Amino acid sequence: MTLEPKTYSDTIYVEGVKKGDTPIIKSLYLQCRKYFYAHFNSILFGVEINVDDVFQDSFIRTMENIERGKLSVRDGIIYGKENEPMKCTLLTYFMSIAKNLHRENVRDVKKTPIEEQSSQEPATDDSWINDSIDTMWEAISICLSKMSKGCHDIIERFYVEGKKLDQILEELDGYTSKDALKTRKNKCMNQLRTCACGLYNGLNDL
Amino acid sequence: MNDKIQDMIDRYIHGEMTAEERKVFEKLLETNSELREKFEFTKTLKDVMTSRERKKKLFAQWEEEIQQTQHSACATASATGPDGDNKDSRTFTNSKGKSTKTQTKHNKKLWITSMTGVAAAFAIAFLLFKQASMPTSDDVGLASGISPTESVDAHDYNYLQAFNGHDETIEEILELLEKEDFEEALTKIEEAENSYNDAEDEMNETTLYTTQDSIITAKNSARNLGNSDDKDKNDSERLIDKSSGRKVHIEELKWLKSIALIRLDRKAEAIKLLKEIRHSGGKYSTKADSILDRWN
Repeated sequence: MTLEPKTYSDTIYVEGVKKGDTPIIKSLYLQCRKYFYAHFNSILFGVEINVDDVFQDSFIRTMENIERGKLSVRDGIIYGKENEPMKCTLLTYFMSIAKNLHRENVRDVKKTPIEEQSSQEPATDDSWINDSIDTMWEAISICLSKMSKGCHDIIERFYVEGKKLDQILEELDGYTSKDALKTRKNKCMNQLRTCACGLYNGLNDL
Repeated sequence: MNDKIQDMIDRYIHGEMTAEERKVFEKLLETNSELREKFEFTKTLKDVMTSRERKKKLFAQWEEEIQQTQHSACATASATGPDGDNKDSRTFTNSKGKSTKTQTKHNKKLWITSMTGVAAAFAIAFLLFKQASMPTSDDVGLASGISPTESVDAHDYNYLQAFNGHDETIEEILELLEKEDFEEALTKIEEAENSYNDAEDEMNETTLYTTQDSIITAKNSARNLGNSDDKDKNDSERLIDKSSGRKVHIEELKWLKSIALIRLDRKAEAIKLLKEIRHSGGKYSTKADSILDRWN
């Protein structure tokens, strides 16, 4: 593999992601990665962040938007918000998502009331990007990217890997008993639910 | 209450319910909206997490490939920064501590390892070069860090105090040294050295020839009852005198050369030559020893 992968047109990328074509997705990943690390300084600022996390979460969100039909190709044209032809490149779209995700992260860190935050931010020209949260899936995905590592580790092991609490207790440090772990897991679930419902219902507050 | 509902959902999802319990649970799902909402949420969460983890595994695989490519590129040309590939070297606090956080650290480790290797290679090369080009550890003047020109006083520039012989070449060299034209003086000294060496070679050949000739002459003399003994003796004395004269000049040239080298700040060569002069036991050995002592 080289760092200068074969590139494709945006329509090929969108169709490739939709079909789950791994080589096409990989090519898009490398394109976005290169562009992101060359330009993230201009969009990510305000608080200290893990830039790798922002990149991967943004790429996942871009993929999910394509997978879930927010971006689609018809007659060689990419359609986005309200079925209008996309007015930017896929890279610009991806960078706008990164910017939005970062803005949310900054908002979380600063704990600034939403109304106040909105009035402080300058108007952006990317309002045409269909990045609104239309489904619980999207809301959960965003909230997962903001979840603490401790919660993520428990939830992932319990619901994705299907492990029992006894097993997780052995794997993770910091829990003295199965009950303590169970309490933490339920708290994490409640936080996640609150976050996702808030986003889904437009409250946008954790 | 909330936790009890979640516990029930978890037992159902993990397949821990009996067949009867499952039936009851599924019936409850139809009638209890809170249970249904939480059950749907949990199922969606599982789907989202599975999808994200699958993607992140792919990303991790691709990142590993990128690291390998960068590592091999770094080995061939270590011109890139710690994060190569345009990654910024800012320090970021990890918001989540996921596997992605290791990528930046891994880049830095790779870069540091590479740079350390390169630095070590340069250091070794420098030490080898230094050992090859400089005198050995018992040499003087190196540890002190004093420039030879700084440690030689005016007394040492009385170039040829004990030289009473008459030699045009030596006089020319002395003039150049007085004018502080050390480069030219050194060139002249080296030309003179070559000239004397050639002359010595020629003399050795002559001496050998003369000796053999003397033997022949002696044999002839024996045959002729000693007629040519005086002539052979005179030739031999002249050669010895010439030989003695050359020795004197060579000694002077070496001393002048060491002075010229000192003034040109060619430490290593000067030290080597001064040590040679010191060990020769000649008339400049004490002065050479004195300079070397001051450098030590």
